[in-house]
Amino acid sequence: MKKQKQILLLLVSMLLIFVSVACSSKEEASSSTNGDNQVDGNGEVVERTVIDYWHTYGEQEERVLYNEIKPLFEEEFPQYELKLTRMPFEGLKQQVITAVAGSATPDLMRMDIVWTAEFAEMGALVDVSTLDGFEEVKEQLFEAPMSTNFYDGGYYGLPLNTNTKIAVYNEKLLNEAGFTEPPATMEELEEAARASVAAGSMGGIGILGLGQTWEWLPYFWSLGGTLTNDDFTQYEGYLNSEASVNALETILSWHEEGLVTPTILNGQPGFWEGIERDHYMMINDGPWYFSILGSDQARPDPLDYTVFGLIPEGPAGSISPIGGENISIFQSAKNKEGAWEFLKWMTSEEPQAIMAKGTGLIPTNMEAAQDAEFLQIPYVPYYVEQLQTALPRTPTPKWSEIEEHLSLNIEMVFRGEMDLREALDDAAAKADEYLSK
Amino acid sequence: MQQRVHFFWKFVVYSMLLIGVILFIFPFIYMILTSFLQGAYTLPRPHEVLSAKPSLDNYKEVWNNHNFARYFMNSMLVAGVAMFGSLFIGSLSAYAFARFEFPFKELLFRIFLFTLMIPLVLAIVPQFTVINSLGLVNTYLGLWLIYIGGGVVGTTFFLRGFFETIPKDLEESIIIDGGGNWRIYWNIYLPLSKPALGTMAIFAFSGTWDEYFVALSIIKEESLRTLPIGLMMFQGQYASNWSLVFAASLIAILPVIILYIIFQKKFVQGGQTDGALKG
Repeated sequence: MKKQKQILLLLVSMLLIFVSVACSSKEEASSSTNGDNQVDGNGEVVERTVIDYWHTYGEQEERVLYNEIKPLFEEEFPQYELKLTRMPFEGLKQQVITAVAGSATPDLMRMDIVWTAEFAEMGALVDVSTLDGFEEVKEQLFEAPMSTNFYDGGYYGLPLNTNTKIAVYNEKLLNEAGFTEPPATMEELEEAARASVAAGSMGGIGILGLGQTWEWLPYFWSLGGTLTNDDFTQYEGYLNSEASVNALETILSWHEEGLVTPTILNGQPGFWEGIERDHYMMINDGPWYFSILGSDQARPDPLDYTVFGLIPEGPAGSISPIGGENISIFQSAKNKEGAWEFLKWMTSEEPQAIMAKGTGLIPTNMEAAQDAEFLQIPYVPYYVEQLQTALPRTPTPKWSEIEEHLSLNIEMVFRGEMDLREALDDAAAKADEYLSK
Repeated sequence: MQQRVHFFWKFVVYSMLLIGVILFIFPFIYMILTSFLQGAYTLPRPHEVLSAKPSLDNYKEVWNNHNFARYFMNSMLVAGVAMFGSLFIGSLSAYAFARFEFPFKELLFRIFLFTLMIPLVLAIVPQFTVINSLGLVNTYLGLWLIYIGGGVVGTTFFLRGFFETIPKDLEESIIIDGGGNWRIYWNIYLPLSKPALGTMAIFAFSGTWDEYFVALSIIKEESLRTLPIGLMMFQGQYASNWSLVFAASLIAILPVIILYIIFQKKFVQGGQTDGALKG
């Protein structure tokens, strides 16, 4: 009797486990078979292969991707089904590394331009310059964003969208500082900032923080500073050159005079809050906030209270860093052929123009960047013009480490804990050490 | 005089407690109030927060859009099964460690504990490779394997100590009636360990309910994703709408709070074996 009960109990619990297993695999099965084959208009079944695409678009961008890009691609290439998976940013790099290690990557991924070289070095990406029709594609794309895919003699992706930073001014504060036009040179900017701070604003030169070089490079480069030699192989003698020291000294003197926004050392308010509420005269930023804030009914449209200008010219001109995303094919992709087909199509004029108009993302396709409707967006021409002189940050697999070390040193300088020259010397030596590894 | 000193200390103690409560609850209230605002892309200042009017708009948007309801149910299933699985298997192995004698028992237990010390980030790549070679990527089974496997260790460690405090003599009543180990485990150890089981249930549930990294690695399909991944989607690369993030987070912690309320009565209950044996 007791024995029977024991056995019964065991059986029941085993049954429960099996049921739960069955449930989960059923769910999985039903979702993975979805739409593998499609019945076309004539009632014939078309064999479709899936292209698995991890992207990192925001919400508004994802909508355009899903509602316009996907149907258009599948109409033109009925043999493929584009499967879109939106990945969150948190821990994304680690996710990709895990997937690469387990050979469970998607076919394609949209990634930040500074990652491409790093994953290429890991052997995770396909060198697309060896594929059919690469030269024709390359000719249609802007050169600077294209160069961010370059690593060790090959191209490990195509530029998908590009961006840079321009100067954004609070119109009211700029006028109060005695300027009717955005400052054209660094001296004018300094003058305007001084007047604005004297009149009670919280900052006249925007630097969002020191954690990423992206935030201060526009000033550093324009003032004549350099990171490396032209082929990105040496920091020593460039990052710590006299010109670089002078450039950084100028920025430091702004900070010490109180001209820079408090955000430089994590102070409040944030960039957009500061400029929206007449606290900051000037910030610099990429194009994304205009579309985010512009589409939010609860916040005033930035176009109503800002004016734009190029990064003011310094001794070296007006130079801003290139940002943006590349799209790459993984070595372990199951559908490399379809992936390359999509890459070629996605960087062609029509889809690039659709994304540009729908989201304000700046196309990498030269034809699409001239799209009249796209250029109608008020801030767009400034970004397109700024891109003409924009520079890529060093495309090297070690960039993350180099940047981290450099940023830390720079922050110590601005907190008064390190000598400026010493900081750059140390960062240059360390960077070259990373490169030679 | 004595009365006054007494009152003074009471006053000190109560004010410290009150300060503690305010300190702990303040961020939470800030979060709730922020979730009533519209379009807070930067964290709002105190005066904005204090003038917030209660509104459920953000909650409605979160729940109805962004697949949030779906993620919520997914997480329920994942965390629920993982909780029962790790409690059940963990208590069985705790029983074995507490009551059976077998060779290398202590060594085995130490090795067991050692796996607790390995940081998740180090373990994720090998774990993923194993799950992948089993063909369980993108299934809840793969996720449960990791969650339950990880949870069992903690549960075993915790329950073994608890089981060892239960008097062995209680088992005799069952042995006399002809019952075996299963009966002892089921009718004596489990009922007497309710406080410990309740505590472990909360740990096991909230541990997997919050878990982000493993879930994202194993689950590739958007429709199978769990709540923490859904939460992260509200944080953009360049800008996060904090009112939505907070509304979503508040919805996400509800089940944990409910579970806590259900099990909290079990926490302090002791003395269940009092008077069970004659001294």
